[in-house]
Amino acid sequence: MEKKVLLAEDQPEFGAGFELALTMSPADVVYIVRDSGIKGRGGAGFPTGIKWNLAGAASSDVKYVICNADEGEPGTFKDRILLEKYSERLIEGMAIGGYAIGSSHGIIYLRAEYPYLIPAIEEARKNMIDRGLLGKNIRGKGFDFDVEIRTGSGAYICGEETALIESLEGRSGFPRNKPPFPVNSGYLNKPTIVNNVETFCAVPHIILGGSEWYADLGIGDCSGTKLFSISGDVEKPGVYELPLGAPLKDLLELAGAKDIQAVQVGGASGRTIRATEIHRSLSYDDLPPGGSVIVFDSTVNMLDVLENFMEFFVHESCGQCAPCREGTLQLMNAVEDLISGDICSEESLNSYFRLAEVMRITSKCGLGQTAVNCFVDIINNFVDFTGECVSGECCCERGDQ
Amino acid sequence: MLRNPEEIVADGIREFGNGRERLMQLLTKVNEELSWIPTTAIEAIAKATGISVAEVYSVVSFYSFFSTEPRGRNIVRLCSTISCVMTGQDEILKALMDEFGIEPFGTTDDGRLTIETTPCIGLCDQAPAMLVNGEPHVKLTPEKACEIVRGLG
Amino acid sequence: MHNISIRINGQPHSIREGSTILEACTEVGIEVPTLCHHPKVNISGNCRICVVEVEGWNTLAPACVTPIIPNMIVRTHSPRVIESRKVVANLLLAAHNCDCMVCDTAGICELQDLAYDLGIDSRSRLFDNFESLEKVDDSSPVLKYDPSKCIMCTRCVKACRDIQGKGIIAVLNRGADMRVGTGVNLLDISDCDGCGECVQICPTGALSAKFSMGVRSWEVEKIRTSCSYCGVGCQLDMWVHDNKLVKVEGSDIIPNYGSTCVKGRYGHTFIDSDDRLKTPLIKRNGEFTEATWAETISYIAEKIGKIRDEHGPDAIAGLSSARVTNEENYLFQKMMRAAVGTNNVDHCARLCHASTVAGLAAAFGSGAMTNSIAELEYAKCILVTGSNTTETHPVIATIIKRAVREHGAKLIVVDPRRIDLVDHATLWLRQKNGTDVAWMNGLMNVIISENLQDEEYISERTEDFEAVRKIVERFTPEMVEEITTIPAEKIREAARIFATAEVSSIVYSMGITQHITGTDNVLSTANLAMLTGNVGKPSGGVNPLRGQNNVQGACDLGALPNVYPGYQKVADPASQEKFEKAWGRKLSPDNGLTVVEIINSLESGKVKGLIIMGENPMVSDPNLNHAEKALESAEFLVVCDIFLTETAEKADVVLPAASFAEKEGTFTNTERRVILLRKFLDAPGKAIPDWKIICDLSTSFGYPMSYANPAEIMDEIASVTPIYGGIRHSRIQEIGLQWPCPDDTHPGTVYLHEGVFKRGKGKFHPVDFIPPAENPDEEYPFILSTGRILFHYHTGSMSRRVSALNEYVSGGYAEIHPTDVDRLGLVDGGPVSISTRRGQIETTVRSTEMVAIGSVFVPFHFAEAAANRLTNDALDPKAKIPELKVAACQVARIQ
Ligand SMILES: Cc1cc2nc3c(=O)[nH]c(=O)nc-3n(C[C@H](O)[C@H](O)[C@H](O)COP(=O)(O)O)c2cc1C
Ligand code: SF4
Ligand code: SF4
Ligand code: SF4
Ligand code: SF4
Ligand code: FES
Repeated sequence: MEKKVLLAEDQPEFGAGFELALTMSPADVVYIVRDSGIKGRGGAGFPTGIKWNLAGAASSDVKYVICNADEGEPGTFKDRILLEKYSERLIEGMAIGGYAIGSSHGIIYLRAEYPYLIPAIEEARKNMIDRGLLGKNIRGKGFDFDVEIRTGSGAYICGEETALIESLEGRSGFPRNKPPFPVNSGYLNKPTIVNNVETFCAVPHIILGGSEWYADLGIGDCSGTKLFSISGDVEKPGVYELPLGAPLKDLLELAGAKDIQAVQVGGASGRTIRATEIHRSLSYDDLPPGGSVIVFDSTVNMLDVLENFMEFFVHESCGQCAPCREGTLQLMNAVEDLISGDICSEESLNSYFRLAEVMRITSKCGLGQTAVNCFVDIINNFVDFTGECVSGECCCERGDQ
Repeated sequence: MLRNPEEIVADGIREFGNGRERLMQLLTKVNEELSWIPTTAIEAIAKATGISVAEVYSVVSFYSFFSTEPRGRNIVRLCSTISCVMTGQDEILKALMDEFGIEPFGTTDDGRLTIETTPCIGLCDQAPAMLVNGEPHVKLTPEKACEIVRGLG
Repeated sequence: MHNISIRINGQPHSIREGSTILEACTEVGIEVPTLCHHPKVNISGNCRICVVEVEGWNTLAPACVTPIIPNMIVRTHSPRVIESRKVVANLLLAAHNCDCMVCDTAGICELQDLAYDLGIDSRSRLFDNFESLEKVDDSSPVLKYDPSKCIMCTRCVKACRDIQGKGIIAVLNRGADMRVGTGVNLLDISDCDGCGECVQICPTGALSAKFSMGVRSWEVEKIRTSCSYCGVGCQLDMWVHDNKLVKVEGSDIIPNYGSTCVKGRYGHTFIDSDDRLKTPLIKRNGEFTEATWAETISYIAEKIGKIRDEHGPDAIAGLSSARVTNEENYLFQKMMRAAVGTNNVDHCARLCHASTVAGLAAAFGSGAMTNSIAELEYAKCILVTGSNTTETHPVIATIIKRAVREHGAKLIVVDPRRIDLVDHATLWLRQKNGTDVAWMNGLMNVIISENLQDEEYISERTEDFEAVRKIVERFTPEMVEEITTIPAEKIREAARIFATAEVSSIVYSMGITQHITGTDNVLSTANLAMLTGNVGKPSGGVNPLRGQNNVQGACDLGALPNVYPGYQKVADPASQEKFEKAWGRKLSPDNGLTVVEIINSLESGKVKGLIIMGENPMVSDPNLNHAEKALESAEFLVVCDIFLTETAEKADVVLPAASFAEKEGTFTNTERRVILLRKFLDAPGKAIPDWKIICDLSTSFGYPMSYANPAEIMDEIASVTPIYGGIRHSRIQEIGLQWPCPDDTHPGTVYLHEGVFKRGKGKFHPVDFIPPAENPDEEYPFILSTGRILFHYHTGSMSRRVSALNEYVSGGYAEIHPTDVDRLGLVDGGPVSISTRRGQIETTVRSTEMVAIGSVFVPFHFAEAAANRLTNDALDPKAKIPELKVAACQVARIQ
């Protein structure tokens, strides 16, 4: 069932978490975040407290706090909702991050598809300034902080944190080789934390409620709540907040999914499962909970879905590393052959499955590593190779007989 | 009246400064004002920032929203990802193409309109959706989409 | 950095912390294949061929970028690793236009090698091939880019940006559409100067020379030699097949480390021009007729002998050459001195760096670059003046740019033209032509008044400082501004940067030397460097960039009228005696005539016979109209060259010489490095090396000379020339030695004057400002200066026979500021007439803000619009160098 914290009707006043944080030492703030067990909400699920701790420990006069508002994963729109209504919470979370790691510069990297959200963010910033929660020597604590909005320009890969940093530095969004990691050498080679909108929005709640309270919000080993954007064949698409670790089934019920054939969890780069698997849980140990859930009913041809996703990856691969640049193209080619019937047997896909595994383990960044998921899942789970051959010139030559 | 690219760049430099990290802002400014980024703007930016022309061009060519070809004063970006496709994106695209006589990424002869398709724009809960000059339009039907585009200046 | 323990393929190793896995593997002798990686450029980590397995990691690690961490367990050839490499290689091949059968790169292609090593034959290919056979970009005169062979390693982009400091090409688009290009897509539209750094570093045939080698790479022989163009002395690997040069690569050793400029890499096709001289020619009744060597040599002996008998040996003069080898220069001056009996021997250094030799010898005791090329990269401040380094010493320019980009050096450019380096400079001072002493005194004025000088250095290592302190007192920045038009504030700023940098280097060239105050200018650079304690330490010093490939060597080996080899003075009886003993002849005690004096004496009839080896004064000398008349009035003129140059046409006898490609010997580059020249082609027809010609001539003059080979000549040089005392061909097979190198065990000298100056104490010379000989006036309102450009060389006799270079620039032009172009009603690209009190030329307008308003720049390479018909032959009284950099001229429309 829903458990609303970030989206609760009745929320603590904006800024309250930050004010409380300012009464603690930066190290204590980091510890609270660490002990809450919150993992990054942008998809990769890296423990936020550990990231902040590393950045806090890096020695540098200048550090940066970057909010990743590049939400580009197909089917994801949870950050949009947060930015529309809770930008002040976001900036508050960034300010807490700045205080925790010793940074005065916040940057919100907003995707170019969301320009209409800029006024809301600017207003939130203005409110914070008016209330003395941004600017110089905040609350007389000798801590300065402000945020700046920068926009992308239509490149999904800039959601990857090092590509995002490259973009902010005025370059093409080519992900960097790691190490060094941004916590040591990020924006302008300074220690930098990059966190998702939702991660930052959760932080003030954690400060106010305490780490134990937050950890207990989740189910089992999971900590906190999580927002899910659900769309596709459902009655009530939208954003729902659930305890992390909740079964997928709960979410599907809330959104009114019927006649389910397939559910994709985590967007194009997430997993695609059968209706029989919806009891699985939305957690880092099971179905990695990106922001997106898309439901497909029995009328959908899953190969068309796969084609749509492969087109997406071909279009969005930055192209720098060979397995992803060439591999996405090859997979796309295979999907087209499957659709046209030029490939009709599982054996003929053998080299593509080998490719998928190699892309997963050799690509430079998450895009290439996960672009193969939908290919593997959809073909394994939804393609039937037992039927008649449609093409006369297919791979198995069954059509000739 | 469209301003000349050098003027826009000069304005941008005043607003943002000429550090390399301001490149995206400078390019976005030109791209928004003119709907595209002419070579003269690229050269002006290269000169002002000390980045080589080729490198500026390389950045421009990386990002889908930047264009080095002239585009219409109105830019329609129709989402082409699955949630929108499942709710009828192809009919909308077809209706737009038929009515305005252009292919995706084409520009009308009068320079009024460019129609592009683009990956997920984060409006899947209200699919099908499009952005018109950055503004969201949702729950589209072919008729509704054409009407919106017709009404543009 | 200490070592850490890791395991590779089961074996424990202790490796330096900070190493990558690849470095660790290389260190312990395990081969990990790579493709995008190249040690000279930043790692991209793009190809993923070098992946290895690290225990506990989910994904494989690219060995080239992944640093080792303690207790890491690495497997470089596990089944998962091999599978990955094969699949990735298959991907690359599927997107590749595998045209190996007709690809020039086959045999040296890293992709081909990889496919071979992994055993990927066409039957085992995993994927359909869908390479895009899009158009090859061949818009550059020298290179082409074939996207269908590009593996997107980005080496080329980094080579152009980080090694060359240019950034002409970049990665365009993204994903599968990725390409390399300039943005406007064509390589020639922007400033690509064709240096070919990108071609050399490309692992495949994607970037290659535009013209096919016409032969497979395994059929060539590679011979290392030295470039025949400029004084940088790039080491080149000549790819030869069937007595034909098919390709040139920069050798990856000192001083160029693989880099070259467009001339070095693509400018050597002149060697097999059809119009090479192939047989001796004797002019009879105004017509050249072919002759045998024997008949020609005895003809010369007879004519020269007659002049000597009738008018004495000083009626004969010789012009040696900065283009021929050290050995040949040595023999030439030996022939003039011992066989003919005169010191009338000089060469074109007179026209470029005579003032350097005079000035630096007076101040320091040695007239050469004090420091080395490579050291420039680590200077903290570089002051470049009177050198358009990007065009005249392209490879040195890349080092200066790297000093700025990679190591944070401050660059100060002082030049009337807005040269390319200005784009990389912290500060650009645009002085009025011919006012160099003034701004340097200005700098010193500021340094002294702000007490930024190096007192300790001055008192311990130098003398006569007080005189300089006194003279620069008057040169306040404001006064200097009046003379030079450089704003006073900039003078102050430059002075502070120069004086406070940890180590500052001065780099100059002909913009400093070719003035009537050339020697004064040079002395001023020396004053400035000593004032700030910058001479005698690494990366500092005063560094005159010598123009021609062997101008340093020609000077070193005594092709000068006042010194024997090794700058041993003719006027010094001890030297005279030493050489008389060595050469077994009485020698003349009188200094000989300099180039311009020889020309003048021809006209006056004092000199009657002239022997010219490899020089073309008909284009290179100042006030050509005068020079032309003088040469015509010579009683007997012998020219030895590889082409029938403008000068050779005036000769009575023309001797066909072997080019640098066809002989052995040494050059001495601008950093005093004696480098080897190797024969890689056979000479055409009856052409023979100059050293053999000299031997024959000398013998015929009654002074027998015979050597088995140039190495033997070098042994003789070493025996009489202390600074070359330890130089032998056997010692410089790999890397050249820098003089002074007094004995066979001496390692050569990287920088001069360490601890003590050659002359003992560094000597300050007070220098006052003297305006140029000719200033603009009402009649001749423009300031004219002349110089070189990247694509051509000297008088063009080599470079203008290279079609690719002509494609860049095919003829002369005059740079004029757009304001002047408009004011005079000229058009860019249209005709213009330029005249001075000495002559007039017609050429083409190039409208550019490179030059200041009121200034004109004309490159001197083009005989048909010879800048030197305009230049002034007014001489620097000390070094006798003409004022080629300043003249007053008229600029007019041609109706
Ligand atoms: C291809 C790709 C796209 C990504 N897109 C986003 C995104 O849109 N928003 C986001 O917050 N994180 C995105 N990430 C994850 C970021 O790299 C990074 O892990 C995240 O911003 C860290 O924030 P968090 O720890 O708060 O999640 C993406 C990663 C990859 C590989
Ligand atoms: S995996 Fe794809 S998106 Fe990531 S770096 Fe490689 S090419 Fe770029
Ligand atoms: S670049 Fe290499 S692999 Fe490609 S065609 Fe040439 S030799 Fe063959
Ligand atoms: S030839 Fe030289 S200047 Fe031209 S692109 Fe290649 S590296 Fe750059
Ligand atoms: S042209 Fe050559 S060097 Fe440049 S990216 Fe392509 S393969 Fe690499
Ligand atoms: S050699 Fe390491 S990724 Fe290419």
